[in-house]
Amino acid sequence: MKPENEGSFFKRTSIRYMIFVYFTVTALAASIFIGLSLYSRMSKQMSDTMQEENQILIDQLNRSVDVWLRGIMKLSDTTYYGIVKNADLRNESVNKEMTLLYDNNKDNVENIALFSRDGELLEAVPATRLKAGADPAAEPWFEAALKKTENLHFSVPHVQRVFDAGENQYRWVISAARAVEITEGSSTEQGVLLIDIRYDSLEQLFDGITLGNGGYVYLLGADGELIYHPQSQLIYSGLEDENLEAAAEYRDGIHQEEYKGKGRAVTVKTVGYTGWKIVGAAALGGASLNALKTRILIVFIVAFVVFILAVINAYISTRITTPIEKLERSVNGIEAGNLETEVYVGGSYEIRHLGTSIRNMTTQIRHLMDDIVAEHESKRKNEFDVLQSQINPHFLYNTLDIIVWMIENEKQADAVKVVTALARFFRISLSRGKSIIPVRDELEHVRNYLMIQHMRFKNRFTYEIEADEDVMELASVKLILQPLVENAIYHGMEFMDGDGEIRIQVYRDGDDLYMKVSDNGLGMTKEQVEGMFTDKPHVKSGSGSGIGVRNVNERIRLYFGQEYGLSIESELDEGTVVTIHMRAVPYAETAEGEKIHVK
Amino acid sequence: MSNREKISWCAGILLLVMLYLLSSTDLIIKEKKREICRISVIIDNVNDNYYGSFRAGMDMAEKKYQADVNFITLYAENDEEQQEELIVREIKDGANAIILAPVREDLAVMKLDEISPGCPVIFLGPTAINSSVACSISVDRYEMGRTLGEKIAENEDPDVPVCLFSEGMAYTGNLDTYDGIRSVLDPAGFTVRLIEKKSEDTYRKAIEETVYPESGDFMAVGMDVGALSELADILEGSSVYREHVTALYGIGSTTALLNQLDRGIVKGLMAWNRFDEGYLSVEKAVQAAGGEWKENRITLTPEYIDGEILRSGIFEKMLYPME
Repeated sequence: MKPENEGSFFKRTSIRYMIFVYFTVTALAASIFIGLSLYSRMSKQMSDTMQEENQILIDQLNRSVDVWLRGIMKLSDTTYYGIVKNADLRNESVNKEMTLLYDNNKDNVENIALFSRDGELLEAVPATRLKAGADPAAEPWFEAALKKTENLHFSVPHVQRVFDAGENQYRWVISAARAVEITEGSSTEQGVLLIDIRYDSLEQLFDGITLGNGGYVYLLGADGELIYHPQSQLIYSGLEDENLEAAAEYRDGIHQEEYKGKGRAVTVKTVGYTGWKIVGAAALGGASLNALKTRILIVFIVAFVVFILAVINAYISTRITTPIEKLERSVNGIEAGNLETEVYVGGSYEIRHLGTSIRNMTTQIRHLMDDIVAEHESKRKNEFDVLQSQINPHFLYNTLDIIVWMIENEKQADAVKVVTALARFFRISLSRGKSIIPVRDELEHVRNYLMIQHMRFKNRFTYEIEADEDVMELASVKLILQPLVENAIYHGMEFMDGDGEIRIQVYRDGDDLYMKVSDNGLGMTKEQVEGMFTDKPHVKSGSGSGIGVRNVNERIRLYFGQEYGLSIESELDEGTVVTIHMRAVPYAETAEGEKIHVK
Repeated sequence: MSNREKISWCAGILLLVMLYLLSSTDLIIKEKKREICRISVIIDNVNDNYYGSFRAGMDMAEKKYQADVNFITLYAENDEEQQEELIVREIKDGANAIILAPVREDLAVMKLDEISPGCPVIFLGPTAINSSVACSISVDRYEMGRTLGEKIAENEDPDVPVCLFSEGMAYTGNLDTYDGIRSVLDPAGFTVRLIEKKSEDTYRKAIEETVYPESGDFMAVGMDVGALSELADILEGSSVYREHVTALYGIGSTTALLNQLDRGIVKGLMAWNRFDEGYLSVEKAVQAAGGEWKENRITLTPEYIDGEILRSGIFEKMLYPME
């Protein structure tokens, strides 16, 4: 079990909020995990696809270059085997056939020329001549052709300067040269057949070809020299760079390299026969999130997903917790003491079950409470009866004592009066067992009592009863004035000699009913007054029971509540005023007479 | 629902709306629209014969930076007034940058101060910079003249006088070239004569004079591409003139001049990478129009080319750029 101070956050947090937070955080974590996984997976897949497509593109390009080369080789073969070989160069048909061949290929071919072994120009189409001072035999293509006579040699791109050209023109060409046998008359000697292919015909194959992620394609010669590059002139000028040395070393396939601080995939494919390398360079990586707006869009999508999840979670948590909250409110009502609170029963099975249990429990508590109240009422009634039963013998003893005294002193008439008053006194005392009687009866009762006592004490005091007519039919607890009057007589008047005064006033003030019993007797000290309301033994006269005031106070409170009861104001040698405070309730409304206190 | 919860939901919705506006509209973050930079290139000549390689570089940069380059020639040779009119016209027409090969450097700087173009200007040739000029791409003309002078002094007889031909000494860079050449030839004991073009046949008359018996032979130096081209054409057209003009040197690297160099009409010339000049001028113009440039003075290195070097192919890629 956790200590009390642990999880204080959870103590302050509602179950709905906790469910919401747990669900949302879990969903968010899952979303991010799935998102990252998908992004990573798709990015890799995209990268792989891109590389695959690059590879396919380069394969296609390779085939195009291969076809282009084969076309040139075929042209060279046709020129050699179809026109030059075994044909006498002095025959004009050679030039005609070469011209025809040139015309058919002039989109790609700059010129076709035949040189002797010494570099002498023997035949050329279109018709041209060597530049002054030009030495074809010193040209690299010428030397290569004679070095390996069985091969067709392709040069790197260069400006052909051996022929006279237009004043303001120059052409970049790739020279395809081969050693040939030249027949002139009866003699045969070795020579060189040159076909200058326009560089732009090769360029066209590469032009516009781009790879994914800003990639591009370039072409390297067999020795690593640059043949084609989309920015070749800038590379020659040094304004741009290319990783040519590394590319020249690569074998066919896909290679990854770090160049200028960035990773890139380099796809290499060697062109058959020439050994040229087609190189494709593209940045590594799949989808990239470079733009600020793209990044914000990703944040927006994540936030939107989280928001939707939050809405769903809020709905779910509300659905789950609303019955719990309603049940909690019911329990709070019960806890506050209102057992009549309707206990909510709803929601899921567990909560319904809990609600039903609490409802049953409340019903049981209510029954138990009713039993307790009934028992308490019964006990109170018993107490009242006991208190009342304490009064009657006491008074009866005193009155009978008076009557005995009167008869002994032959005062039969007075005795008759006392007996009559006593009879009426007891008639009201009985009141058919009721505890609540009209004020009128209560006053009648005390009046009979005062008359008896007045006779007993031989007129040593006078008394006066004042009551408004409108209070007569109000309800009063039975026999509450008599004990107070008894106290006034016994404790206030006992030592007075004919000038004692007892005054009873009954009046209504709003919803309250007041009865005042005042005397001009000896009065009491403060301690004596306080002792009147406690169980502590207090000063008793020889004839008093000492329980009258407390008895009256308790009975009033039993019926009307704790805010009602007695109050005593007393001054030594001045007198005492005892005020009874009750609720003003018409007696007619208390037919039962026992339920005044129940509000 | 408590007030706190209501505020939280409202804040969430507001956040989503904000993110949507940020990511999917131009209301808050405005995406830079790629605007095509319109660049006007105003040269100092009536045709682009001398700008072949330059245009190749220019075209490369135009393609790379997706610019719109308008190449404008003059109606009359070296007409600075017309050039000024063209500058004003192009600015009015909404050019984002101007690349200018000024006829006269001093006047161009003054005029630009007057005009206050409101768009960056890239100078070709002059080294002067003012508030309107974003960048100058030039060759050290003095150094070029000096190098040419050294080659002449190295190869030629000091007893043969040297005639320096020029389209006009006031034209951009010619004075520096002249000073550079003389700084070497004068100490080397060469007799130097300056011939400025006053009319269409100034050069021809000067060469014709060599044929007269009382006139001696001389070496010709074309101090600018116009002068060198005309001199080469004159000499190529007459073997008589070639007998009296012992050698022709100069500045310029047009294809025609290179062919004439190859054929021996021109003995040696000074050239620089005009492809780079064209490429860099457009690149800098695009950068300047976009409000960013790092260096405002680019100096290209001149090279001396003679027939032997030309045939060796060392400078093949510089002199014959792939288009």
